[in-house]
Amino acid sequence: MKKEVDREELPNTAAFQDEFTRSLLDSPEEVEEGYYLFKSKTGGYSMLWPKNAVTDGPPFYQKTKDSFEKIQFYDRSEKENYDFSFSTTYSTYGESSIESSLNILSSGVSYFGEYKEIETEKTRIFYAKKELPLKLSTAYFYFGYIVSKGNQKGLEYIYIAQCIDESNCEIEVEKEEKKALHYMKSVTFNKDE
Amino acid sequence: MCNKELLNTDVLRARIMDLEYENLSEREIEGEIRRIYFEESGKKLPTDISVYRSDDILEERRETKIDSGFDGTVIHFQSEDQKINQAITITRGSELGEKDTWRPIDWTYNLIGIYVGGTDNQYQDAKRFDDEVSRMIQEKNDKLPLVKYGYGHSLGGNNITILQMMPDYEGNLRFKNVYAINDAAPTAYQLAVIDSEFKVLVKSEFQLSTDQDIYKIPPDELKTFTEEYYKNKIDETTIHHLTSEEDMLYGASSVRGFLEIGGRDGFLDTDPRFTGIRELVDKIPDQDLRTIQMFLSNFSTEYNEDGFDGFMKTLTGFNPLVLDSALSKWDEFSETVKSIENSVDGFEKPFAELKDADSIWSFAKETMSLPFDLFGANLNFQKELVTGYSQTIANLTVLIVEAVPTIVAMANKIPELIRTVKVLYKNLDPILQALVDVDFISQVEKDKIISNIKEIETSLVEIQTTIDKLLDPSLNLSLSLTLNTMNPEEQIKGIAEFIAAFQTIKDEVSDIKEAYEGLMDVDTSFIENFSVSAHAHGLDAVINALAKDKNISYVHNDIYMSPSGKSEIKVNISSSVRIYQKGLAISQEKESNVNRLKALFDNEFIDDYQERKQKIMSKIHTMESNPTQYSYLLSQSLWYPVGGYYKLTNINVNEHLPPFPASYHQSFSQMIQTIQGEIEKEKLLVKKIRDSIEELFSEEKKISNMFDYHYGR
Repeated sequence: MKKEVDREELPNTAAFQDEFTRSLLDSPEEVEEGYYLFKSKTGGYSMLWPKNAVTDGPPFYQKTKDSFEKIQFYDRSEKENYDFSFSTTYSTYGESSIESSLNILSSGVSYFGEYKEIETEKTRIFYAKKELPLKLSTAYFYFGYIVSKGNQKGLEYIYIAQCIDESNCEIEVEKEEKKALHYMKSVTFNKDE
Repeated sequence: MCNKELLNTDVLRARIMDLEYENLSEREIEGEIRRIYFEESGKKLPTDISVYRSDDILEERRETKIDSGFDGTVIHFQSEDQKINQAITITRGSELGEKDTWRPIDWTYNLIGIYVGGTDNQYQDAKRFDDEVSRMIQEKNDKLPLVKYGYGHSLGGNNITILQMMPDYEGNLRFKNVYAINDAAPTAYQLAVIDSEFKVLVKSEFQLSTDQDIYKIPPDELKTFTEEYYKNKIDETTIHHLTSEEDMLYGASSVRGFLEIGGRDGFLDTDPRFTGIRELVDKIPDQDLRTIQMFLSNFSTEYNEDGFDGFMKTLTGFNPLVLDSALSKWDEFSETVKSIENSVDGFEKPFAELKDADSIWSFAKETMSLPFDLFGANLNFQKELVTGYSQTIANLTVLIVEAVPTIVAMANKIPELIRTVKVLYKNLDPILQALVDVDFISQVEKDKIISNIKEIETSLVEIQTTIDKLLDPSLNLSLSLTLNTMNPEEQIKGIAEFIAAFQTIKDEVSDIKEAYEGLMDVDTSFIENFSVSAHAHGLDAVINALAKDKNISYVHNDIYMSPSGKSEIKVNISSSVRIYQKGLAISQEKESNVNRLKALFDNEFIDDYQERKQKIMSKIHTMESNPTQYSYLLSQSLWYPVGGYYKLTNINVNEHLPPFPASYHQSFSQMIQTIQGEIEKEKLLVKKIRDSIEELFSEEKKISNMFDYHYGR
């Protein structure tokens, strides 16, 4: 009953109403509409966190000191017929290990094609996408490996968008891809101390 | 056929895997591989060997020093003549032999990781390591295609199997064959976190609305679905399991979710006492396992990061700091009351039981209503005390309010925890009894474990009762009522109740801690027994069970042989060969040192003497044949005026040079002879060791070869 009071003081978003997810986020302030800033406790990177996305905690959240962090989170709405899921994996292997990083990514999404290289000011993104037909809908995979130009840090980013049910599916592939690219480009790596 | 699998028997592979546990240097590993190969095949290994260690390879490429605990080795065999280019990747979990520390907790931790799914870091490191080394090898040798094999034992077996299940290229498997011995089977939970495609398919198939819901899928259905997916994805016949019947991991793996991927050629019976474990595990109801699984998923990260306090906080919501500050304020409060008591000494006020709310209140009421002027000189002091007292009450109220979230969190979490402990308790008893029956643990140890768990349960129930009472609005202890009341009597009464409750919780938590430590204190060598059966010794047992020739056995990777018909005699052949070869090598080194000594003597004494003699003789000759050139010597020894009176016409040197004294020579030769004699004796001795062993195994031709084959160290 006291807890309810606590909850009311926090933003009424899935992220802040979930105890574990809340523990990962510093501030209930939205850095852009609909997104919080996730600042990793590894001290290595930051990324956008959709305000209605939650993680179910270990093992969907894994961390080894400041050298590794994997988070699987999702924003799902039965009512609005969508399921967006994310899997991010941070490690301190950078550009020099890009080949094995891409191998890990390829295995994880069963994608065996080429990656497109996208350059931003401080990062390099190796990006690809694929579709996977499901029983009731189609899953659209957008994924990439982002490396820091300044140091040996990297983040594997997998974004999967799907409708829960194919009928009345309002997912637009172009829009989803744009979103995915925006997520990946918004990833920032911290400088080494 | 070229590039045929070099290590082509189970014994050979098991013995090579066993090397992973010995923490050898790269050169030592190479020597051991040559020895084992020769001992098993009777032939020399026809290739070069290169050894790559994960610690070296990964550290170079990683920014931080922290590793995942993954350990692995790649052994590369190559020979251009023989057309061999093969690499063996051996993975080891972090569990054992990590720089000689042996902590069962790590082992448990990893197993929990597999069970609930938290092993990504190790999987990724294994994959990076394998990728990097393959690339290094291919850069160096591009003439022949590289054929790769994967080996893994126990938790390493889990890792290597998953590597094979997650190919980088369509239809192209990482390893030609994977050999997993007594391995921890992969679980669907583990794969769901590693393999995003698989996870999407599981979510779709079972209509999951959260990630966590995967634990709610009936394990049999999940298992079938997972096996079907991976059997379509990879050629599972490339994965070979070798399992001891009594292996604890296998016993445990009938538990929900462990997959059967790959072939298994029957079971090795290494210890007949053990068949029962799996049957027992099979009997644990599914619902109970799910409870334990959910419980473990919390346990897995918290305990390692923050120790007991962090663990307790996660599981129970208990925050020791919050309760501690309230309790210490209470102590301060009691002190204040005591001071007042002292100041009114002589009035014989009733202070019998300070922690009793009623008496505190009656004391406080009386003190405050006392006509202060009665105390005369004490008046001001008294006032001060009473002010402090009110202040303390205000502080306490604040602290209690601060402690409320802790209490609420505990109220939410504890009932679930109690359910888990009950389930654990119920299921542990028959399993522990089985372990007692096979002498793995003693009855005393079992009783200790059970009584400690019971203790934890009792304490948890006590905490729950206390909290329920505290939060029950129907009792007049209700939070807001107590803390906001204007009636000071009610307020103090309420605070005292809270404090008493806090004290109870604190005591119970410390009981839990004690019980938990009691659990840790239970002679855990029985855990080592499991792991011993599953690890190094486990491999030893596997290797022995694999030996087809009953005259051959193995201890610590040394081969022991018995002469035919005399199976009671077991000779450590590996060690005998080492003694022989080392002994012989030492004798040879001594011999060569003696030879060097002799040469030095000749050089430094005999030759040197001759040389000097020669130099003097040639000088004499020069002087005698060119006397005029030495006229200046006259001016140095005789006085003569400018213009000169004397002329040097002839030089005749009268010098006798004796030969090198024979006594020097003799004593030195004697010394050398004595040393050489000793060396000969030593050589005879090591040869005798060899001879007697060869005689013992006169029918075994292989033995003689072993003595002659130098695998190098």
